[in-house]
Amino acid sequence: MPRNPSYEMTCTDCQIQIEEYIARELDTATESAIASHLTTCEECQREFNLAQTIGAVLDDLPKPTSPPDILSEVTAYVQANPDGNSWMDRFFNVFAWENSRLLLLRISALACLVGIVLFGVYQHQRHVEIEQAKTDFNYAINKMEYALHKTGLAVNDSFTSLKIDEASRSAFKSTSKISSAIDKSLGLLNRLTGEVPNSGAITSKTKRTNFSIKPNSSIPGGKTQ
Amino acid sequence: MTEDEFLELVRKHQDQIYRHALYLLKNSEDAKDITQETFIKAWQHRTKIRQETVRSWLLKCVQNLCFNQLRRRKFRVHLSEEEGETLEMLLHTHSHRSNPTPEETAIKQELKQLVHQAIDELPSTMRSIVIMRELEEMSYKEIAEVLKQPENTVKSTVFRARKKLREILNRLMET
Repeated sequence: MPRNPSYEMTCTDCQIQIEEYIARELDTATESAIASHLTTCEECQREFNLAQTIGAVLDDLPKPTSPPDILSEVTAYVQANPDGNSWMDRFFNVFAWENSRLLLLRISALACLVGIVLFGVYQHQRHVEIEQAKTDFNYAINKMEYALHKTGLAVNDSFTSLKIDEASRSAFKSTSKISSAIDKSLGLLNRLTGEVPNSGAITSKTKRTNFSIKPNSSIPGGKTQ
Repeated sequence: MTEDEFLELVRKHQDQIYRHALYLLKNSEDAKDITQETFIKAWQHRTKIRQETVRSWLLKCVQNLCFNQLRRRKFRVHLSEEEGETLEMLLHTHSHRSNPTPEETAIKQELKQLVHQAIDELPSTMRSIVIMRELEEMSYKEIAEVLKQPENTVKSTVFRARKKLREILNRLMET
């Protein structure tokens, strides 16, 4: 980035750009600012010298040559495998580092696809099961309603035919027994008094009214009024 | 690519690939194995490699293989606490320098030793970029192609690597 020529260089700025300064990759203004800063700053001058030395040593690094047997061994491999890999190499190459990312990607895609299909099947099965459960539930409700209805009928039948009828029958029987007892009592009473009973005109009720038993006088030990 | 064309390509690039592996791994045997492996992989994938990007492909491949090896070695070192060779020891055997004056040699040797020690201490990604830039004299564009990074990123990494070297050297000189 071009800078103002009057730009005042700080030590930090100078040291950050010192490599670019050596490589002559800075604009003229910055380059002259660094150059003037270096003449006045001892610390930056020291850094500059060190950077230059490093550059020189790096340039001077030895360049070792490869051992001769590399070519011969590669040649032997190439001649033994003119088509590249053997089937076994190709098989194991699937698991090699370079292919592992691609393999992972394929496995992930396949897993996703299988997952989607399984999820669809599961959802469909669940829907079918829910529908079946609904049908079963409705059937059970209907059955229960029918059973309730039948129970209601049975209860009604029990009340009407068993209990009430039975009760009324029992009551009727009791009434008959009471009537016959009253009749017998009246007959006995009339025979005792010498009157001929008009059995056709006398009901058990009138008989009871006319000839009511007075317990206080008839029962031994009763109070005399 | 025919067999002859491929072997010609091996002859052309083997030194550079070997050097890259050697500077990264600091072990000549490992560097040799990795170089062979790189070319075997290139032969296996020769249909996918384009002629104009073959150098970038080889450098990328050797870099990946070296990083894998370093990761494995780090694990092994962690287990056995074995010590590797230093870059200085290694390059000493490969040095083919002409003989300057004894004083110059002494100063240069000391400085070199320190710089090599500093390179040793650089992180492997930075070391790889420094090798490409300083040793192989590759352009920023070429390095960017190898690393699949923008040119400016490579530039700033090179500057950061040099700065880091400077810091390490300062520390080494003080001790």
